Amino acid sequence: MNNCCTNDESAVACTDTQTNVIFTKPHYRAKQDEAGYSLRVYVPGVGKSGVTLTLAKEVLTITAKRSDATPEGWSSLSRELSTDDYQLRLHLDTKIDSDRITAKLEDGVLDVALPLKEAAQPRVIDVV
Amino acid sequence: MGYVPYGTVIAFVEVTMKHIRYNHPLSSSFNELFSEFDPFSRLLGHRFRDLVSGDSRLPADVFEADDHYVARFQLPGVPKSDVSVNLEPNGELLVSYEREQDSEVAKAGRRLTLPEDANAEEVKAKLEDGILTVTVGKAEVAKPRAITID
Repeated sequence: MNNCCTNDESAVACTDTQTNVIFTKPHYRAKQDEAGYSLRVYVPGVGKSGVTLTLAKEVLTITAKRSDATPEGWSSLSRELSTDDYQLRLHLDTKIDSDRITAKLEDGVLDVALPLKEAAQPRVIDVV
Repeated sequence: MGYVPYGTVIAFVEVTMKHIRYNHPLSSSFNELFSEFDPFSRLLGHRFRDLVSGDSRLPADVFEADDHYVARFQLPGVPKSDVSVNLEPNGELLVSYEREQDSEVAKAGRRLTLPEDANAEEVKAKLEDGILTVTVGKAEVAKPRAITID
């Protein structure tokens, strides 16, 4: 999790080199506790079916496709918001148990739990 | 820029819903308040800022459809109860929210001047997937009307 512990990443656009689709890097926050890391990714305009999480070679890729396309017949008077889909790529620590990663999307906020492997968690050693 | 006590509503940046966009005269001093050169203001400003974007001015998209106007705002993770949509007596639409999260107060707002043909009686707001959509109807008279030739 090289990238993970900065508190508030600013959004910048990034391009997926394979498909040449332009994504916006979403704002996100990360927290660490004994059980692992928790990520909060802000993806306004994304419905449940729009999120995919893939893990390949320790890189977690979160892609969130927007479902709030501008309906036909609406003409823009003033635009200030990005309409790009979101993508966030994080290099995960090997200590993360990839099988137990869970994610929940609610009101445009994606909460991802990245639990540590049992062996990586702090152990309490009893004093005999 | 001087000290502004917490809780004071500072002027929002104004934008007309027509094609001409302009900044309210107060908006420049508003930005100065949060400038990095003034650490004290920065400290205060932080409490006013939106937790997600770090900005206290709520960005908006404004559209026009055949029989209504639409303004859209991004409010991820903000519950309905923390959002207020007000139609001011002077015909301005004021959208704001205030949310406490992890002991930080996030607050942002936006004031939009409604066009002349907006129907103040017909305002609807919907919050879905973190997007707030405010729909304002157009007044009947403003709709295009075909006139039959005798």
